[in-house]
Amino acid sequence: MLTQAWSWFRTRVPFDEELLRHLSAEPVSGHLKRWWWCLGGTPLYLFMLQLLTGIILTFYYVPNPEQAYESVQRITMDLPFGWYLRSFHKWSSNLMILAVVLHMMRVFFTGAYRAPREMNWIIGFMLFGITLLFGFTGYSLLWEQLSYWGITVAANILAATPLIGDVLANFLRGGTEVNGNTLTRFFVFHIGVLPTLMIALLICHVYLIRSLGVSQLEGDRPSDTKTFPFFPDHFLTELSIGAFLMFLITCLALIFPVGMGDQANPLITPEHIKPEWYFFWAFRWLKLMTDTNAVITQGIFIAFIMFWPFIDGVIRRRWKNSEISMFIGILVVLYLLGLTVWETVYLMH
Amino acid sequence: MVEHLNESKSKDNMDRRNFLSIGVMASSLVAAYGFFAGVVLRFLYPRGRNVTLRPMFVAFADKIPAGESHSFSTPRGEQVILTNTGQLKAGQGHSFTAFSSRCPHLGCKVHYDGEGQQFICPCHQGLFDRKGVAISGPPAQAKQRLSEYPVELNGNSVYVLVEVA
Repeated sequence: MLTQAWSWFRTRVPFDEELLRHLSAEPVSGHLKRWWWCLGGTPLYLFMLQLLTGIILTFYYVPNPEQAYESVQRITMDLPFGWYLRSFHKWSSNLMILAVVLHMMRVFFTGAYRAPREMNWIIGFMLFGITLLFGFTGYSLLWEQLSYWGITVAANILAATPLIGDVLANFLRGGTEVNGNTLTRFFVFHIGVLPTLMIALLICHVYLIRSLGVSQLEGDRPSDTKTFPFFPDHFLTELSIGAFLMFLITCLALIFPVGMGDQANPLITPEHIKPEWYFFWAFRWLKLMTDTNAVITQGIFIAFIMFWPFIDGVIRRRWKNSEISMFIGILVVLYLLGLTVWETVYLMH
Repeated sequence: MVEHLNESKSKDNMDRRNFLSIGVMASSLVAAYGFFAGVVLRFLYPRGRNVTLRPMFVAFADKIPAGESHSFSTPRGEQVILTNTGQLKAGQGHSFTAFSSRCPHLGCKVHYDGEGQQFICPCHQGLFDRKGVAISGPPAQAKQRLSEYPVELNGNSVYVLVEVA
């Protein structure tokens, strides 16, 4: 009976079963049994959760300055399980950023970005940037005081960019002021442009991982390492991680459900304006110098990390097998962590 | 899982223990994601009717003489016809009625005909008497009636009890 149904289906939807089995059973290195080698799959799973809960929240969200705040309030206070789904979306986004950062650190400190995988580092770095933009456009949609003034400050930081500053700021705001246009374009970015870009880049990212293979641990010769099939073994690992993440996010949503700040008011700037924690480092950096200097130095810093695989390649050709990347990596982590902690401590007082 | 390195799980080593552990894992996952799906459906499905009734001021009684009617919308967007039938209702002390102007047949908008003292639905010639009961046309065949809203008269002010969102 089952065989008949299967062959009925196969006749109508023909595909190469052998090829499918071959593709899904791709052998992966034994070290992928360790969870920190699964940190790339974690943000992918969280991204899928974000797509799902995001689409669900869009059923009730109204992207209009007059109604946005109230619609979020209605979702949070009024609709059945709205508080849970909104808290889920928010906590999942926070964990996604954390997971991407940990994944990048794993890739960096195991040297997995080195030739021939430089392009994939750059694609991954762009995915990280998109993840941050998701966070920024997302909390702007609430149209509360911090969203409104967050956009205002961000636009003014952009305006400090030499030469093209004003163009960038006007593009972000959809005009010279933060208003309904701004909310519309943040909404379009959040639910249209960014997801499309992210899916496209994810396809490139995964394609390059598949075609170049997962990087070997340093010191291992390919023949030394044990392998296991992607399906079902690695798939089951990812499934367990997925179940754990659902549990974790649900706990976070229950213990720390999201609330509402004050509604956006263009006439009053709140006394304590702060971005989300993942922008603390940039926010602190901004307070240490003039806007233009901050934008220039951060631009150089970002380009430095983005193109590090090529810089590292040049260094390693000049000084054979130099491990300077370890020191650079630790410096960058300390720099980001230091500024984040500094800003956190400052905001707590 | 670690002992399965270098080999894919074939049907041959699907022993009882494997079968049980896969069963437990699969049913737990189905239960967990099923619960999540339930939450999502509950969120997406429109809310049931909330039966909190609040009096809503509609008109001054002396502005609506006998045989006249006045249409208005409730806060939930329902269209209602307030009518002065000219005949005192038993135990109420006034002659006002309020009926939904939505025809129970297919949702067209009914209007009040003061001379005939009846509600007329133009779509399929449905007729309702002044108590809202269908007397002719498809609604009468289906034994339908217009839904009624309680009316209160306070001095010269007419209030209709409506559902609030």
